Amino acid sequence: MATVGLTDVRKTFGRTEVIHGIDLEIADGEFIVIVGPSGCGKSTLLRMVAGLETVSAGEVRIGERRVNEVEPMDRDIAMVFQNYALYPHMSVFDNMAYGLRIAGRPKAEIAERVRAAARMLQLEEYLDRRPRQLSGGQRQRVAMGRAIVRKPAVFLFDEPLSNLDAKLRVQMRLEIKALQRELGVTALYVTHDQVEAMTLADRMVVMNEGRAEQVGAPLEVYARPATMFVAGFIGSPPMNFLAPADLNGAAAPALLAALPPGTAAIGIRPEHLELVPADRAVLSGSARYTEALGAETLIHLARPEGQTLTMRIAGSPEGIAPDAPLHLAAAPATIRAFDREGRAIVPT
Amino acid sequence: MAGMVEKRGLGLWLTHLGLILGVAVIAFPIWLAFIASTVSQPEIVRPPMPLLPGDRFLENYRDALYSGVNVPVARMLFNSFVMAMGIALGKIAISLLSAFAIVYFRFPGRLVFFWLIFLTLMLPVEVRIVPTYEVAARFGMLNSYPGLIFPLIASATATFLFRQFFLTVPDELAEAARVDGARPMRFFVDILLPMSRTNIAALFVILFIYGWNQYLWPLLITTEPEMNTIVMGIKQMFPAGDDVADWPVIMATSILAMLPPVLVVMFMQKLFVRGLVESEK
Amino acid sequence: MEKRVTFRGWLLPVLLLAPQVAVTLVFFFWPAGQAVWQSLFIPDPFGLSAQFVGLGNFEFLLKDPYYRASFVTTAIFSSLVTLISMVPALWLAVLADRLIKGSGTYRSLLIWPYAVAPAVAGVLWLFMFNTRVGVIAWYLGLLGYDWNHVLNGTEAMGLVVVASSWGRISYNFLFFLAGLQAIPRSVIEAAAIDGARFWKRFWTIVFPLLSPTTFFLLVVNVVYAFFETFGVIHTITGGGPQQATTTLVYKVFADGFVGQDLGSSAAQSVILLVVVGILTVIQFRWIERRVHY
Repeated sequence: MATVGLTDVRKTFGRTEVIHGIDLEIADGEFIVIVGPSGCGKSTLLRMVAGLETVSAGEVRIGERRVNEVEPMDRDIAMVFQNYALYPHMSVFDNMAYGLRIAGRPKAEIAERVRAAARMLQLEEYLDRRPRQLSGGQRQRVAMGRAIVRKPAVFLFDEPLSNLDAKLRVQMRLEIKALQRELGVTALYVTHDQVEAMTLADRMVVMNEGRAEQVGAPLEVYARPATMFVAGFIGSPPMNFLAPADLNGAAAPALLAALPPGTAAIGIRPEHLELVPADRAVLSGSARYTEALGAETLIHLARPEGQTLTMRIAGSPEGIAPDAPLHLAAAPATIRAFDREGRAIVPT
Repeated sequence: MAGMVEKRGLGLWLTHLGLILGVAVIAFPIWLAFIASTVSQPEIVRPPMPLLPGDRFLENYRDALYSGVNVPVARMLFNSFVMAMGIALGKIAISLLSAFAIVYFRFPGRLVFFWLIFLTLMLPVEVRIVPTYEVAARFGMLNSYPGLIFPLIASATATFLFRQFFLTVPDELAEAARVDGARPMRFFVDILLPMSRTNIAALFVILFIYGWNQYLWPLLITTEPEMNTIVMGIKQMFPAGDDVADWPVIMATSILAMLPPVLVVMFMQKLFVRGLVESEK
Repeated sequence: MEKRVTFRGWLLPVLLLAPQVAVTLVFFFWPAGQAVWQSLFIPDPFGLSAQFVGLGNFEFLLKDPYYRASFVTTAIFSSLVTLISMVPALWLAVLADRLIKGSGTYRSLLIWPYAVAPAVAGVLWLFMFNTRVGVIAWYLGLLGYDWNHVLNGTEAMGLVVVASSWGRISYNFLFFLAGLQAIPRSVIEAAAIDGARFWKRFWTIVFPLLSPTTFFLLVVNVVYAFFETFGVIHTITGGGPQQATTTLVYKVFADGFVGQDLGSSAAQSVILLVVVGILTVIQFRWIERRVHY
C-alpha cells in the first residue's frame, strides 16, 4: 500500500506554533497510534496528513510523493471522523458510494465495492437506512465502510471510538485492528485513550504540547518511557514519582547508591511495588483505602511526607488493615530514573 | 401553566369561552367580507347588510375574476403570483449562494462583502422608496416584473438566516466531502442544499407571503392596470369622488387577495411557524 | 463563529456573491446614497437643476409644524398599535396555554390573519366602518353615535390603529404562546405548591420569565407600526383628515410622489434611516442580552 513520512512537520496558527517539528517514518501496513492529552496537537498532525490543514513547514510524504500541496482526495487516503461525519440526508449505501460517484466509477463497480464493504462490516441489511436510524456502533461501521470502499493506501482515524460506550468501544477496537490486518493498509490513528493506543498500535507516538515525546512499540514505551510525561501518561494507574530524598526506608541507602548520577526523580510502576519486612523497605506509608477489583487490588497509600502512592497487588486485599504502616520495596531494575528536565536516564 | 395545576370544570369552560370569543372577534371582519362577496350591491348599500351568506357567490366572483373594475382580477392574481414567486425564489437563490461564499470561503475582501450585504438588514424599502423608484425608472423597469421583484430582493434577511444555519452544519461534513473528493460546488449541491431543505421551505413560506402582501412598491412602479398586483389593485377599484363603490366585487377581490397567503399559512403551518421564529432570531 | 474548514480560491466565492452584491448595490446603496445626496439639495420647480442647501432641508423640516405633527402622529400611532396588538395576544396566549388539549387548534384558528396584507386589512375595516354602508358605523348610528372617520381625525386614527393591530394579534399570539410553552412546568408547579393562585403566579412568575419575548415583540411591533402600515393608512384615510393619520413613512410618500418635493422627501428618508438605526441597535442589544441568558 504505502509508506508515510513526516519530516520536521510544523504548524503555526497566526504567530503561535502548535506543532514543533515532528519526524516520523511509517512503514507500509504499519498501525501507528498517536496518543496524547487533549490540545497536544495530535489531531492537527493527523489533519495535516489528510490535507485538511496546510503544512506550515516541513514535508509530508505518502508513498514516495510529497503531498504538502495535494488536495485530500488526491492523497490516496480515507478518514474516519470522531463524530462519523455521515451525510444525514443520504442512505448508508449513498454515504459509502459518494466518493466513488464523484470519482466517476461505473455504477456496477460502485455497487460491488459498497456491497463488499457492507458484507465485511455486517451492514448489508442497513444499506437503505439513514444514519439517524442507526445505533452508534452501526454509524461507526458506516464511517469505516466509507473509508474502506475507497481502497485507500492510508487509513486515518480521528478518535473514532470516543463517542461509543465502553463495551462497544472494546468490540470496535478489535474490529478495527482485524480489519486493518485483513486489508493490510497503513493506518494512522489518533486517540487520547492509552488503552486504545496500547492495544492497537504496532508503534505509538506519545505527543505532548506539540512534540513527539516518544515513538516506539507499546510495551517498549510502557517499560522504558523516555520522559516523565510519557511515564505518567501511559499506564493506569500512573507511575508513582518520588524524589530520591523521599526514599527513607532501611534499604534505601543501597538503592540510592545504585541510581545513576544526576537522578532528580524516580518512577515506580504500581505493580512493581511490593510489601516487604521493615528491614528491606525503601519506602513506607499507610493504606488510606483499597480498591478491590477482583483479580487485583489497588492500594492507595499516604506517606508521612504527604505524597500518595498507588500499588497494585494480585488477588484480594486480605490482611491489609486500614492505616496500618506498610513497608515497600521495588526491584532496582524496575525503577526508572529521570533527570532534572524529566528525561529518562538510560542505565548504562 | 396547564397540566396538573389547573383543570377544574368551570375554569376550563371559561378558558374555552375566552378563546372562542377571541377567534370570533378576529374572524369577524373576514366573515363580513365573505358575506359581502355573496350578496348583491343593493343589499349592501341599504344597511344593515345581512350577516349570513347570500346567493350571488358565483356571479360576484365571476365578475371579479373576469372583468374586475379596471382590469380582470385574474390578471392581478397572476401578477401577484409572479411577483411573490419571483421574490421568494430569487431571494432564496441569491442568499444561498452568498451565504455559502461567506461561510465556507476565506478570501480577500470577505469582510467588506459581509458588511455590504448585512447593512441592508437595517433599512426597509419604505425608507428609500423615492430614490429606489428613480433607479428603477432609469433602468426602464416601470410596469415590469423585474421592477416589481428586484428592489424587494435587495435585503439580507435570508442571507443572514442561511449563514446562521450553515454555521451549525458540522465542520466534519465538509471535511468528509473533501476527502471524498467533492469540490466546493459539488459539496454545495450534494450536501449543503439537501440539508437546508426545511430551512428553504420555511423561508419560502415567509417570503411568499411577504412578496404577495407588498403594497407601496407595486403602487409606485405599476401605473398600467395590466401590471397591478391584487393587493394594491383593490384600492384602485374604489371610484374617485362620491360614486358608490362596487362592494360585492371589491369584497370578492379582497377574499381572493387573502386566499393564497392564508392557504399557505394554513397548510404549511409548521413550516410557517418555524420560518417566522427563525427569521426573527 | 467561524468555520474550521474552508475552501480555497477567491474567484468562485466572488462569483457566488456577485448576484446579491449587484442587487444590493443597485437597489440599496445607490438609492440610499441618492437619498443622502438629494437631502442636501433643493431642486427647482422644473426639476432641471438643484441648489445645494447643506442641511437646509433638515433645518426646514425640524421647524415645519406639519413634520413635527407627523412625528407626534407616528408616536401615538405606534404606541397604540403596539399596545392593542400585544395585550389581546397575550391574553389569548395565556388562555391557550392553560389548555392541555386543543391549544394547537386555537393556534390554527388564530394565526392566519397574519397572512392578510395590511392593505387588505385596511379594506376590510374600511368596509365595516364606511360611513355609508359600514355595518358597525350603522349600529353606532343606532346607538346615537355619528361615526365619521372621513371628517373626524380621532376616529380616523382609531380606525387605522385597529386595522393595523388586527392581523398583528396573530403574530404576537404565536410568539407569546411559544414563550409561555417554553417556561418550565416545574417552575409553575413549584409556585402552585407554594400556594400562589393563578393571577398571582402570572404576575410574579410567568410574566417576568416572559419578558424577553415581550421586549422582543415590543421592538418588532414598533418597527411594524413604523414601516409596514402604509397600506392600511393609504387604503383607509390617505393620511387624512387634515394629516391626522400621516405617519413619517406616509409623509415620505406624500411629499415625494404626490407633492414632488424631492429634497424634503429625501431628508425625511435620511431621518427615518437614523430612526431605524436606533431601533436596530436596540434590537441587537436585546439579542445580545438574550444570548447571555
